[in-house]
Amino acid sequence: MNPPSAPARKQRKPLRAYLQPAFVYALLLLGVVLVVLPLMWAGAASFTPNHKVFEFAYPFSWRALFPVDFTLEAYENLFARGFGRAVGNTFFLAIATVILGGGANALAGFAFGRFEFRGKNFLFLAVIMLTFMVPVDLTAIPRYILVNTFGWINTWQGLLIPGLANSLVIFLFRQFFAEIPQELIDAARVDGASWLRVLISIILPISKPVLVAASLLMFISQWNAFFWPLLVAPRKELRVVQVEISLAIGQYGTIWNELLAGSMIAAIVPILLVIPFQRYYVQAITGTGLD
Amino acid sequence: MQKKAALLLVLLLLLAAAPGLAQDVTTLTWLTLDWPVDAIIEEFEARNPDIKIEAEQIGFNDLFAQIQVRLGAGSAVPDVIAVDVPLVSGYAFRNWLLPLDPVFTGDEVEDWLPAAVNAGSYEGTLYAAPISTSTQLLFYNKACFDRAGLMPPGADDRLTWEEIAEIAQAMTFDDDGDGTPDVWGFIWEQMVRIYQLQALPESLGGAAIGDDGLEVDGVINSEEWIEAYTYYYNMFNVWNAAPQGEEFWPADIFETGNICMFVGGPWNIPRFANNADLQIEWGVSRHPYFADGEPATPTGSWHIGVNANTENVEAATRFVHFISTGEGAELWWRKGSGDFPAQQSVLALFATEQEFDELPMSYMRTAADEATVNPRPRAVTVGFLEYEQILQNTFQDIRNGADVEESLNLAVQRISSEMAKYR
Repeated sequence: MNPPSAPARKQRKPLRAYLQPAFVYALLLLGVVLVVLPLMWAGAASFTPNHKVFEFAYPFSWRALFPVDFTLEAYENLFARGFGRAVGNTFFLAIATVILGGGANALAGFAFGRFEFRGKNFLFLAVIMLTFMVPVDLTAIPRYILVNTFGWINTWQGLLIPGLANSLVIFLFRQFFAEIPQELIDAARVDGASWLRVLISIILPISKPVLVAASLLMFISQWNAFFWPLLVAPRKELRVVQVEISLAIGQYGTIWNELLAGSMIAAIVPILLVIPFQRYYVQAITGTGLD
Repeated sequence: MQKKAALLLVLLLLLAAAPGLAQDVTTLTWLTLDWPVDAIIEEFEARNPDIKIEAEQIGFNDLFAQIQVRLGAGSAVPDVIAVDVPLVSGYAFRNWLLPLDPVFTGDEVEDWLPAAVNAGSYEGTLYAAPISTSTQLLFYNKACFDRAGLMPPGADDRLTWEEIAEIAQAMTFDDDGDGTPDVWGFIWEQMVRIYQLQALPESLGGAAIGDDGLEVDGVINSEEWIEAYTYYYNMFNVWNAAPQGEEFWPADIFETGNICMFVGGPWNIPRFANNADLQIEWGVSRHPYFADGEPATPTGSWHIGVNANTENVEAATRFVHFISTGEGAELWWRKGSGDFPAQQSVLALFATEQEFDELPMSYMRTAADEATVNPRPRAVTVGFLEYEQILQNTFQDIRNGADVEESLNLAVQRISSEMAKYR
């Protein structure tokens, strides 16, 4: 019989086996601290009177991570000057973009993914891929001139329509649709289904990951939109969340607690949307080869 | 019976003519900052029932890009725009603004501060009417002076930059001994912006730009500039009396007691005066100057201009006239931006209004006077945006330890290459 201690000695892991995960966890913890601390400060500062925001933040002490003289004044002031309307406006725009833009981009993605037509590659590479790479700010002036010619300044259509076609979303749809087995489509066509019917009844029901990812992309890009809404619709009644938040930065100072309160609300909405749908999002993005 | 019929006929005719009799209402769009605009709009509309004003209000940081895109695109709206004064030349050069000379009488122009009229003009023509001006003061925390065993200056005293350097070092305290001060002696409110920093070389006799409004070689790398920004460099890097790093709003940190002195605008006076929880005892004195030089105080603020492509010239100029002269200008000061008025008649009200009789609001009287003595407007140049941005980067570099002469020479190269397109 072996002495009882022998197997135990055999199973004992070398010190390195303990140190390695400990080191990894320490690094991860440091990463978490670096990411979470500023957010904690921002959250705490949004519940602090404006003139006390820097009381413990400069020089920094741990007390800055908790509200000083807890107050809801920043949130109250924010909503008193129209933040609620801006949230409503942005929700409306983001949802309308998902529905209308989603439809238009899915149709374009379907055409590029499943059809053969003259100039297809040129259109895809030169128009879709190129606009995908050009920063939106670069095209602001010509877009503004166009929208101004239509008389759409300070209108909902000016805010909404130029943002519907999204080359990244078309690209996502195209990549996903191109992978779908031809047999499925052929079967539907043999049964007499129109192309639109094929898309709606056959393709879309099995495209949940790409639908979720595309919707999230469009929703979040519209939710975070700043420059275009500011340019095309500067009127108070049409302000969106990011534009409303920017007003906390004044010429002679910043209303920090309102800026941070607005940012907290603006951040929560995308976070709440991304967390439950993260799985689909990752699935769709990895499927495109973009990762 | 006949009489009744005639009366009825007259009534019917009047009803039919009614739409023609009603005044056509012109709607003006006014692109402006997030100021309280309701009072001025209400008063103007009451006096001009044929005009309706729609304010498009946006943040300070975003106004410039907005103007560039919209006016650059040749858009007819906005009709009226708020113009930051150093940009007047650039906008006028691009034909974005309507000349305003015929809109004002000689007396009205004379009532404006001369520096504001010059700054609102390009090649002798007025393109943007002044609605406010600005000045700078030294703000200080009295407790810092007590702790350092020094006497704080009076409101009408003017310290030299040399004195500021000594006091600032004496009032920088590293309480926890970690090598980084917890209380800093001094900072400029706009720590890397030419608006505030131009007063340094100007106090030594330096100019802001060449006579042609484009030349910077020999100007921004002159002896005066090198001496001025060596002082600036020393404050951050040698005397360690001012904090380096990211930009921040000194007033926020001044309120917590961690900054002892800063040069800043009079807008801080009501801010501190109205802060009931403010723990520190504070005071002001006049803008500092170099002992061997002369007092020079930053100035310049907001003007108002008319879009050259507007379809409502008459209505737009009527509004611009109202807000920049007489009762309209006074109303804009009282219930609008709250900035210092550019009209001497309105500035004079600081001396008589009871609101400014007692401390600390009486400091506004010091500021009102400072606005009229030694005001130095920013460079009048069509390339101000480029000039300002490049110098801002230069000051940031110097603040964080870059060699002064090298940095200024590099700025000369960069600005000269940008200005080439305007020659």
